[in-house]
Amino acid sequence: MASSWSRIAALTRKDVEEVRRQPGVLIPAVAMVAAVASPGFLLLIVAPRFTGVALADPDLVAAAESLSAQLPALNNLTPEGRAQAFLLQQFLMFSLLVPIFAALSLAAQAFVGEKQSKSLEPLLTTPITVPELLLGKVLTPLLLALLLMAATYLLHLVVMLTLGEAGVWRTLFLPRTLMLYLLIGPLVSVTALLSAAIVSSRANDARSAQQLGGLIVLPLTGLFVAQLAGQFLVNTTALALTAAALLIVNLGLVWLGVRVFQRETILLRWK
Amino acid sequence: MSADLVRASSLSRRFDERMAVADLSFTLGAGEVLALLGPNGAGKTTTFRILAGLLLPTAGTVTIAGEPLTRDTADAVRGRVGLLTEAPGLWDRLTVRHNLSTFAELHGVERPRQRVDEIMQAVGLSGRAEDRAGTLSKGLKQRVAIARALIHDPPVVLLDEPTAGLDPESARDVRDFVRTLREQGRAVMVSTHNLAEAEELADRIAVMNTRLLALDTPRSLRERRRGGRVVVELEGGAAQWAPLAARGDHHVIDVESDRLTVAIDAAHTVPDLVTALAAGGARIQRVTPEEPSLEETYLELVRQDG
Repeated sequence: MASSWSRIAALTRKDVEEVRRQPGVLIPAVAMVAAVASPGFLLLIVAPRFTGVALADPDLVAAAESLSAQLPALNNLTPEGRAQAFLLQQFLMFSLLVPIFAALSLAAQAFVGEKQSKSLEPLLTTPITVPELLLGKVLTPLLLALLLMAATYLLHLVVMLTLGEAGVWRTLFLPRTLMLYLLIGPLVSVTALLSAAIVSSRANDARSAQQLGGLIVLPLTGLFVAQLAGQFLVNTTALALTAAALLIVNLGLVWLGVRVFQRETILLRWK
Repeated sequence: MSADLVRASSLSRRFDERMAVADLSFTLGAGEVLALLGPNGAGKTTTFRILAGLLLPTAGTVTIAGEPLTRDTADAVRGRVGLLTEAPGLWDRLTVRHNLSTFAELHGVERPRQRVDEIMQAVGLSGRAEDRAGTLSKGLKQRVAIARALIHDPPVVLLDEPTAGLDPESARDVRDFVRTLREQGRAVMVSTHNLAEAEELADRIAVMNTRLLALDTPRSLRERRRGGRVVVELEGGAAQWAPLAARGDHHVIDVESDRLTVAIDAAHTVPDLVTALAAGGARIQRVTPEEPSLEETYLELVRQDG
């Protein structure tokens, strides 16, 4: 009898192979990396160079200086570097869209795809348990979402290293940034995955499940706009609280998922 | 008599207010083929899903290859049953080999690669191993689905409408394969709407419409229907002799050119019919008794059940 992990691995390998044979499913998620990074780069790098107008206007410099306690690394930078680093930190919040969007689009496709090809019933005839099935189906989208988030981070690092003000790239190693990428990113990705999986149980096309993204993206967009308008930064304490909240939400979604993903429910109600 | 690989006793399954399967009892031995007939919605697929360990019965018991089906043993039961689902449900973008090897791994088959090669050879797919499943014809897809159902070498095989929608040649291949499964000593259950196929393949036939209406050999089922028909060919047209043929216990079903088709209640009335026609001056060319067909028996059973 196969072990639990070998069954999960078999299903994950199958999903990876399906993505490999249909790389087009990754295009929206990859495009999201560019879409997320572009506004920041345009404002921080391209606009000052082409317009000749410095970022460091008095208001922005004052806002950046007021955060020197939170981000002491800014003190070692030039005023222009401080302004660039401050704005970069604000725009980094947008990076969370990458794991959310990638997880939503790939997970919705993974579940709805099985429904559309009527391959769920044959899968359920095997000794695979429902938690194994759920885990096997979310692993591939999760891995791809995290890879794309890592790619977004690397893209920021490379651009800031090569085109940014001297030393600004170092702010990508601040605890705040690392928490954003290593803690909040994976957690919000799991939130998106579980939500997509649950919605997929009722949806017949991947788009319906993906529309859920709007609900998850809304608070993030609100936070970003509030940051820009109020010229503040979400600090590490707020991020830790957010991570705790996401953990609770995720546990709730797992609880709900286990109830939705019953063998008989999948067989009889997933149409 | 071979050992029973499937034992169902008073099996029932209810979905909310609707009773899908009621009080179903039967056994199925090794090397036996049982055809399951019934109208749409009769509970055939639900029965298969219960026997395959996908659904639990709301009442009654099922034992598969010695393992009683319970919530705790359903995983083990699924390992002993191969279910061909109504739709092939293949992963179209993957190759035939990848489709099968994934299921081999899910079932925990030892040496999965070797087993995949064996099963592809058994169903005649060796040359198509690297083809994407989505590019195959319907008949070949069905072969892949059958191979998938057998990948873990189960003693019990359930085939849900295995020839539905297939061309005659592909359907024949599937029927030949069912015979092979019987020769291998597996217990095979086939649901079908094709009565000729059921008669050709099955050792026994079960007719169900939520509950079991009949379970017998094809011959016994046919003979179960009372009486039969006789076709009388007459010289100079049949119509004029119809009133004479309709006397007594006979009932004229059809008059066509020089052929009279007469329903009779018992075999001994055939000589009575012939004597009556001859005495009336009819010149009889041929008398052909017609055995009741399985279709008639089936329709009668379902109609009586209402």
